[in-house]
This record gives sequence, C-alpha cells and structure tokens, in this order.
Amino acid sequence: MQIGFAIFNGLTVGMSIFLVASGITLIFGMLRILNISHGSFFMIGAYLAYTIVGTEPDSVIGLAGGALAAALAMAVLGLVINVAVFRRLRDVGEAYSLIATFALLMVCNGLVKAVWGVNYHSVSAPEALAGAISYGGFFAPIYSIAIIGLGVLVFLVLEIVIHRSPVGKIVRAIAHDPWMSNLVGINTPLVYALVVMAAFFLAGLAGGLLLPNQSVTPQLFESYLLQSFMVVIIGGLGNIRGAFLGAIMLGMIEGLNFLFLPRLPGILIYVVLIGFLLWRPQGLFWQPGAQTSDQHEVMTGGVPSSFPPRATKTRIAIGVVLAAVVLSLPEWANQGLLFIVGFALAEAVLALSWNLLFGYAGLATFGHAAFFALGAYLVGFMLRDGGGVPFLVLLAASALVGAASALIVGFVALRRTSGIALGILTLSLGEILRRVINYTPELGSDDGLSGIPRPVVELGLFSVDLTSERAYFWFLAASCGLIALALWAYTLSRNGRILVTMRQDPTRAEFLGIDVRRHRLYAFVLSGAIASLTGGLYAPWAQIVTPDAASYLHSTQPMLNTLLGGSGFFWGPVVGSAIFSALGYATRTFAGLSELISGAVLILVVLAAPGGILGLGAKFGRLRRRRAPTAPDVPAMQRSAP
Amino acid sequence: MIECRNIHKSYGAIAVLKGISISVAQGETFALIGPNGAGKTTFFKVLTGETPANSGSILFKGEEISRLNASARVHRGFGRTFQVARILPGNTVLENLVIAVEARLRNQGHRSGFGLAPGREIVEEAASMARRTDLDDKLHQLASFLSHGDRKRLELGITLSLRPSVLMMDEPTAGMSPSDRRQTIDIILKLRAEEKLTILLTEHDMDVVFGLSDRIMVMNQGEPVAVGTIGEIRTNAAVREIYLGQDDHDA
Ligand SMILES: Nc1ncnc2c1ncn2[C@@H]1O[C@H](COP(=O)(O)OP(=O)(O)OP(=O)(O)O)[C@@H](O)[C@H]1O
Ligand SMILES: [Mg+2]
Repeated sequence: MQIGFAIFNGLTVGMSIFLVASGITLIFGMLRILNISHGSFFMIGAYLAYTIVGTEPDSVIGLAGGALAAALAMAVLGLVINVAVFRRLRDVGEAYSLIATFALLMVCNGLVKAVWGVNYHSVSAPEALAGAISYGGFFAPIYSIAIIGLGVLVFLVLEIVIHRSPVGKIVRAIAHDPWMSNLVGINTPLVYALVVMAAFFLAGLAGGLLLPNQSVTPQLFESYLLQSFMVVIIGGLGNIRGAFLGAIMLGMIEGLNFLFLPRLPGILIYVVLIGFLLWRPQGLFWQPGAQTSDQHEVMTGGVPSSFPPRATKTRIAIGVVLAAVVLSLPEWANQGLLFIVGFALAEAVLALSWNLLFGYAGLATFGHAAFFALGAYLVGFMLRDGGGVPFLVLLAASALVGAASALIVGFVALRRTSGIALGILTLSLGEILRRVINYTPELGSDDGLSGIPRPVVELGLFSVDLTSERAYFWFLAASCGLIALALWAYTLSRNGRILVTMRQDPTRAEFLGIDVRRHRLYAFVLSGAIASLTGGLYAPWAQIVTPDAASYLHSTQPMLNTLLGGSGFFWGPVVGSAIFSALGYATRTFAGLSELISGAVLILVVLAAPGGILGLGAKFGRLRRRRAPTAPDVPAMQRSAP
Repeated sequence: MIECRNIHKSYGAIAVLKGISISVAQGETFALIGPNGAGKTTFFKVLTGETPANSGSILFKGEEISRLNASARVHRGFGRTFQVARILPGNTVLENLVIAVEARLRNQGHRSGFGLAPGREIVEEAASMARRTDLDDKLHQLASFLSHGDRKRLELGITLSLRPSVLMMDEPTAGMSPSDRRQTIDIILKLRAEEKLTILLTEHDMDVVFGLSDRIMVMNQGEPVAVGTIGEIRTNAAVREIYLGQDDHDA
C-alpha cells in the first residue's frame, strides 16, 4: 500500500513539474536558450493568481479563472521578455546565455519579494477538489488526481499540436534548421515569440492551478527550477515526449527515495541525473541540433592576457593604494563594513578560481561553491570539535581535500561531458553535497556549524593570536592577497599560456602537443584547491557555516562577480565582487532590492557589455594599455629567465 | 616513414573512408587529391589522431600510432595545418609564435625557468619564424585582424615552430589570391629544403599540387583511385574519368 501511495504522490509531483518543464523544453527546442528563470516565472504566475483568488477560492471555476488570468498575464510578460532579452541572446555564447537567464531569475525573485513580501501564504483547495477517493485500502486526494490529469492533458495537447498539426510542422522545421526555414519564407521571429508566449502561458497556468498544492513563498521557484531542469535534461533538451517521460521518471524516483531513503529526501534524483549525464549526456531522446557547446563561445567576453604586463608606476601605485586601504580598514571602518569586506575578499578569491576555469580554460561549471563548502566545513568542524589540530595544517588539508575531490570529479566529468551537461553535472554534485550536509546532524544540519572559534597560530618560537576580529581580518586579507597574486603569476606563466590556448582553440592546442584533457584536469584541480582553501579561510571569519555555502545560489556568485567585472581580465572577478558587495551593503535593508538590481545589472552586462566593466574600460581607452600595446614589442617580452 | 594500411572510417552509418593504404617515404612530398567530399580531410583527421579510425593500422617510423591521441602524435613529430586556419585570434602574431615555440620546448621535455615571461631565445626564435613566413611587419597585430592568407601563413609558422618531421597541410592555399598562392608555395619550398620535411598535403589547386609534390594519390568517395608520380596520374584513365566524366560515373 505504501508503495502505491509513494508512486501516486511521485506522479503528482512529476506532473506538476512537467507543467513547468514543458515550457523550458519548448523554449530550448526553438531558441536554444536554456531558460533557468522559468521556475521563477512560474512563481510570479502563482503570486498573480493568488492575488486574484485569495486564500480560499470558493469554487473550481474561481481557481481556474484566476489561473487563466495569470496565464494570460504571463503570456504578455513572455512577449516582453522575448523582445527585451531572449532575442538578443542569440548572438552570445552558451554560458553567457545561461547566465543571462539566471540574471532574469534574480530579477524575478527580487521583484516577488519587493512586491509581495517574504511571508508564507497558503491557499486551500476549493471544496469540490478537497476530498479524496478511496478504493480498497488506498485513497487518493481528488486534487492530486486533477493535477495528474492536467499534466497528461497538457502533454496530449502539446503532442498533438507539435506532431499532428500544420503549426507543429512549421515549429519542427524551425527547430531543425532555422536558417533554411527563414529562407523558405517562414516568419521565424513570430514563431519564436509565439512559442515563448505559449511556454509562459503554461507557467502562469501551472502557477495558478497548483496554488493549493504548495505554500506561496519567495522560495517557490527553487524546487521547480531544479526538478524541471532534471526532467528536461533526462528527457533530452527540446523534446516534449522526453520531458513527459522524464517527469514520470522523476515522480517514480521521488517515490523510491521516499520509500528507501526517507532520511535523505530528494537526493536520489540527483544521483540518477548524474548517472544520466555521464551515460547519455544528450538525454533519452536526442534532439538534432541540441548540442550547443560548439557555438562560438570561446571569444565572448575576451581572452585574458597571459603575458606579464610591464610594471608601470601607475599599476604599482594602484596595487599599493588598494592594499593600504584594505589593510587599514580595521583602524577606521565600522564592524559591519569590515565584515562585508572580509566576505567580499573571500568571494573575490572564489571568483578568481572559478574564472581560471571559465575565462582561462574555457569550462563553465555551476557547482563551484561545493569546493568552498568542503573547505569551510572541514576547517570549521575541526576548529570547533577537532581537538587542537594546528590551523595551518587545517588550511593545507582543506586545499588538499579540494584538490582531491576536484581530481575525482574532473577525471570523470571532463571525460564525458562538456557545455550544458558539464554545467548541470557540477550543479547536481553541489546540490548533493548541500543535501548531505543538510541531513548530517554532526555538521549542524540546516542550522549549520555555528560558534566556530578563531584560531591561535603556533609557529614554534612564537604564536600569533588570531582570535580578535581585527587580527583575523588581517590574516584573511593577507592570505587572499597572496593567493590572488600567486594565481596571477600562474596565469602569466607558460601554464597560463597553455590555458588560453586551450580556451581559444582546443584542437589547435592539441596540435601544439598540449594534452587538452589533462591540462583541463590540472586547471580543475587547481581551481578546486583554491576554492576549498578559500572556504577554509572563510569559516573562522564568519564563525558560522551553513549548508547554503554549497547551494547553487552560492555557486552562481563567482559567475556573477566574474561577468560583471569581466571574464577576459584576471582581476575582473575582484572588481565584480567589490561591486556586488557594495550593492548588497547599500541595499541590505530592502527585501529583494539587491537581487533585483544585481540581476538587472547582470542582464545589462551580458547584453550590452559582455566584456564586463573592465572590458568597457578597455574599450573606452582608459585601460587600453592592457591589450594591443601589451602585445609587446620584442624587447619588452625578452625578460629572460634568471 | 608513414605506412598506413586499410583505413576504414564511418560517421554513423555513412562510410567515408573505405580502405585507404599509403606509404610515404622520408623527405617525400605526397599529395592527396580528389573531388569535394572525397574524404581527404577525414583521412587527415585519422592520420593525425583528431578522430579515431574504425579499423586499419598506422605506422610512424615503425611504431603503431593509431591508438595515440593527437597531442601524443605531435610529440612524435607530427605537425598539422587545417583547411580553415586554426590560430589564436585573441593573441598577436608574435604571441602566437611564442606560444608555439614554448610548446615545442615543452614537448621536448625542457622545463620552464623561474621567469614568467618567455625567455629571450624564445622570443627571438618566434620573431625569426615570423620573418620566414613573411609576417615580420605584423608582429603586434591581433591575429583576429589578419587577412585570410596571413592567417594561413601564421598557422604554417606556428606548426613549423614545433619542428615537426612530418608536415600535414589540409589545403594550404585554399581561398588565397594567385599571388598569395605563389608566395605560399615559395615559402613551403624554402622551408622544406631547410627543415628536410616530409610533407603530406591535400589541395584543389593543380599548380600547387604539381609545384610541390613527388607523388600523388587520387581519392574518390573514400576509395583510392590511383597512386603515382605526376606523369603517371596525368595519363591514368580512371582519374580522367573522375575529373572529366564525373556525371556518368557517379549515378
Ligand atoms: N563530422 C562528420 N559527420 C558526418 N559526416 C561527415 C563529417 N565530416 C565529414 N563528413 C562527411 O564525410 C565526407 C568526406 O568529407 P571530407 O571533409 O573528408 O571531404 P574532403 O575530401 O576533405 O572535401 P573538401 O575537398 O570539400 O574539403 C563528406 O561527405 C562529409 O559530408
Ligand atoms: Mg577537406
């Protein structure tokens, strides 16, 4: 009986996810854009419908009417988003388009918090749907049956429209070959707009109809975002049938998870997803043209310089002034500001390590925070409960653990996946880690590890007391600075030149005798080690580490920092992290405002200035010395080895 | 030097190479010709390790290399240029060549010194390669701004900086103007003499083929049609049929 119940529940979940996932796969199938923000638009739909029907919809008609109104509003919004954003994403690389839709997600979530607040609301099902049907010992809520029915209905409608109608013929033609379709006179922009509107309509409809299924909160997008992703990836991006089957599978897996791993809810699906990505990165149903990773990604955002710049007076002066400002902070800044700067420093180094993969090696990963969390938990746990292992040993251990786990992950992941699959794979690994931490009482579960003490470093002859805030700040700032400089030197050496070669043209690199897979793995390991070490440095600063440190939201932070600052510049991530931190500090009292602004800024960057702030600067000449004239005259490059 | 036997390659269900065997001697220049889609580029890919063959063996200086990846073959002396030149567009001409020289040193097992910047000898060697490929007036131009012919020459310079023993060129003069073409042939001839290169090339331009090659293989639809010297190929009936009577042959 329990099995039947678990399966039934699983199906209900699966079908509600399908309502969102079908929109994602529709948009991807047409526009080749993986819309990360779809779950958030679903959430907006839910809020709109909630505003219309209130907490106690009086009838099925009332609920459906509210949902329909929300769906229509969302369709209009879809039209706007299509014109304002999606249409412009056709010319940017895959990773940039992913990040732009992620920025949309931030805007949506910020908007929801700003408009509707952060409180929970729950909506009850109208009376006609509130009961349950029982059959033998098994009973099923009518509302759940309605959801399953709705999912199947939507699938059938889409299936008929796409595979059995003249409209579908056009849609499939465009999906297959947009260029030819355009040539034979199909108005592709119009079809794109219609498909986006349909996808948004579905999201709004689902948001309204599923109101009684869940509470309405600003976190609503999250489960839909991740699970609908899995569904479309497992099914094969762009394929409706695949998404439907994927949704059913997801339901079954959730059911199994409930039966066999009740203490680790939601973890099995990630394991299955990872297995899938490694076994069949293209999903159950391969969609012609769905492989987007060979698009001209490589040059969006520019390639960082890998030759040492000349040490001009201005440059040295900038470095010295910045160092002086940061190091003198404990003398004049208030505690709040000091804290923010400490966090920003850690985030900046994390972002630098991410950009080693993205800007230098050409690999976009979405789970970088997992390494950070590994180091943070390791050091945090050992400082608190580990019984006197020296702090510096702990830091070294955190780097080693990061390197080792990156070696294992990279060895498998880089062999089997690239592009979107690599992104989703790393994202899933991060989520698994977060959940494992979440359900480990020794690590403090949801609440995290709190009360992490700051260490005293014994150096044999003397000891350095880092227990005070200012002392630890200096230690943190100096460590971050040293790591950044060491990494910079690495990127300006022969190794850095190997990286930019691989990023610009992996085939050329291979034919220069560079074993691309091996060097990508090196970069992966180095990046993981630094991220983990940064986490280790961060834990005693924050004195608390929560599972959020491993969440995908944290993983996106280094991307945002990097893109805003400019991925084509070594110091871009630092600039971005400074700006985002300042934004966060300035808007800290308004719920949602910082997400809203950050998201909007990011969309602007991707659409209008893919080189980031430093890229803009270079364009307008202030920083021009970096590229063309770094391109040194022969003598300038001849600083021969000592 | 290179000995390959009975290479088969298919993409999915489509057989692209149907049993190709060649043997190229040290110092020889060997040209592959054939109509578009004959499988020349695919054969190059298989030889250089860019893509694996389905069956067949490749011996290089007596060693079986068909299971090695491309970079390992480069370490053994392969150099390759592409039908569409592969250069590093975000770097300058000089930087491209410096990176190539550094790559060679690494392939030869030289460790880098402590300095970050490339050493003086490296930069000088890169600059001299630029001179030899007629790019010395564009040292500091970003490669993305180079003309088509310049890109091809830069790619040749990059490849030669590796000091390969076998140079494989896929259509070295594709899309060039006649004068560029003439200049490229001259450069190749000069470099071949200086470096004692073994060369494999594909080309559509017959002047280039006749100007450079010792022996020629004609391919059609993945099968060898004829192998021989220029004279032999010219008088070969099967070849004449392919180039002159393509329509009634294919159907
Ligand atoms: N990656 C691939 N997948 C499927 N088919 C391919 C692939 N690459 C090449 N082909 C097919 O293999 C055949 C041979 O192609 P190839 O590029 O080797 O020809 P070619 O002789 O170099 O032609 P050209 O003179 O135009 O350069 C063609 O029919 C081509 O369509
Ligand atoms: Mg070819």
